[in-house]
Amino acid sequence: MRDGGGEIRSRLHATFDPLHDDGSEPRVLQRFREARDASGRAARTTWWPLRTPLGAALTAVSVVAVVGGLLAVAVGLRNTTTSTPAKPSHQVSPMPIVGSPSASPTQSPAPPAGFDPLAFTAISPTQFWVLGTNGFCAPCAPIIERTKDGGKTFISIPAPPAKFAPYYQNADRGTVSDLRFANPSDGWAFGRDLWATHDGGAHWRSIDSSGGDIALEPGSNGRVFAVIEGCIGSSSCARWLMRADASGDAWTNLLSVPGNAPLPSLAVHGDDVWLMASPDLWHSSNGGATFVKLKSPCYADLGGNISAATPTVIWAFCATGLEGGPLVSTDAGASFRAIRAVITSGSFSNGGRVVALSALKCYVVDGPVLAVTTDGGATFGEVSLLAGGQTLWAGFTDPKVGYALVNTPEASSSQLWRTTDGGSSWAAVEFS
Amino acid sequence: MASIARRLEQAEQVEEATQFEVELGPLIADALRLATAMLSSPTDAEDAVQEACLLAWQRRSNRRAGTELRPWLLGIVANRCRETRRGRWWRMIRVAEVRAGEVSAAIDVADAVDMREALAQLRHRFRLAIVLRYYLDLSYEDVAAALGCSTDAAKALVRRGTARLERLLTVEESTHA
Repeated sequence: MRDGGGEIRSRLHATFDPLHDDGSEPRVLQRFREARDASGRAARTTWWPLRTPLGAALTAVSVVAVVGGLLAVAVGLRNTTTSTPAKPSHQVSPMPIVGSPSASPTQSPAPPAGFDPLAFTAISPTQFWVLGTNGFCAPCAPIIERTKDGGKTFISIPAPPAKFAPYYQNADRGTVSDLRFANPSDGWAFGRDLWATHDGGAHWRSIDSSGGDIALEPGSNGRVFAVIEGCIGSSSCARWLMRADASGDAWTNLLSVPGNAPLPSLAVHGDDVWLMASPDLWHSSNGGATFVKLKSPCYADLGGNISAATPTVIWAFCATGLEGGPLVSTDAGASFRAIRAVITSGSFSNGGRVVALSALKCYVVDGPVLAVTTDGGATFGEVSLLAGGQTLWAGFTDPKVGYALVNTPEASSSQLWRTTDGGSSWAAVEFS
Repeated sequence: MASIARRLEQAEQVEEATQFEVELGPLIADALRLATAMLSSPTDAEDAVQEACLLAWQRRSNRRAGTELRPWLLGIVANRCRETRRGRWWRMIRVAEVRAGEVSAAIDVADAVDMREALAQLRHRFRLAIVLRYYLDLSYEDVAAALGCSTDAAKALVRRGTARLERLLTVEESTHA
């Protein structure tokens, strides 16, 4: 069983063994028994059993805080008046802009050597932006590269004065991990902070977003949607779905959803917006003016993600504990069909993500696996972009042109790959 | 008749719960060690393991016939740890809790801090693979089962994760130097 890594092994033991407490095992087992019995009594409701008297007290405080305080005053910028998302409030509550426009409006002609692409956004098959860093560093200053010719040439545009941190790291405030542009002028860099540009990146404004996790997707008709999290202390969190005009920074509350649940997943297709926030799936077909509450296809406590192909076709990926799997809906999320996906490694892990192209075609990004079905999930083929590489992200700008970010196996850097034939062939994009 | 059927059903449930506990009990220690290494916090680790045990019980029908509980449970623990770390309050630098009176003089505190910080910078799957392999001393087959991947993929994850961890530790040490 022993192999290399002896020093790592001994350092792990030296680091974590002192944290162990002999009383933990019987305590956990007892708490499990109590929770199991309580969940049995609760007859499989979504109520989560309280674990300890202290936990009960804290949870009660949390409920009060969330209902009575957090939604109203968490960051002092939202006018949500209800604690449940039954009715969109539609109250315009502009997020304050912090400071003056920043970043030097200069552009350099070419990406720096060692550019490491880590996030991607496109507004057409040929015009896209790549957010990355300059090689191995943590945290790093973000770098943004823009192309208008499908990746033949790039120019560096100013990035917001934040640090880049991948979403999976324990990033603190002041970091961004992703990028979206709605048009050549209006873009957002976000992660734990939210920055907006309305002049193609020449200047960036910091939007006070309370420092929680942020997901953002542009829609049609000049709108942009964001899910923003706000917390009080370490356990009382809430999340809001908000909307703004792409050209401005005035955000409107649309929904508030539970904060202490798996991260919500946002999907936007034209005027159709879906928010999967366990245990619900919210759908709007009119740009967020009204929402219908549907049932999330995923386990409430495990979460998942969604991706929309058309106004009616939506794919979901749900974690199940050890494994995960895709589902597809052809009625805008009213019902889902679970897919029994068989791939080389057996099944998908919990961390898979769907990239929907149609009711029949969908990619599943799952670490070392990039799988695709073209028959609605009956069969899956696997795409090998880079031997041993981990696919971080994939997306398509139209049925033919798609992109994938792949982590190279031997280096702490990534590559951007592009297809122009619907995924039959892929080529690495050179940043030069 | 209904009463008898109900009693039989209750007896079956009690037996099933007892059997589950017999299987679960010996695994709690490893589950706690995994969660402690993933979260650097024994308190959070207890929460994660308790929640994972409950999930495993609630999802026991999903477990494939003939598969061992251990890798399945460890996979659920790992998932709970990931969800915990995704929480907003986890996205800040945390100082690991050390239980009073249990700190050995032989432990190099700076080394421990370096290890925790370096581990925290690894991606979830790399961190998980390393902890399963080198802290829980699982075989590659068991690492693969817990990760839900092939043995070769598990080996690759451990190899690459180790390389990254060593590089991060080198960076930490050179920074301290």
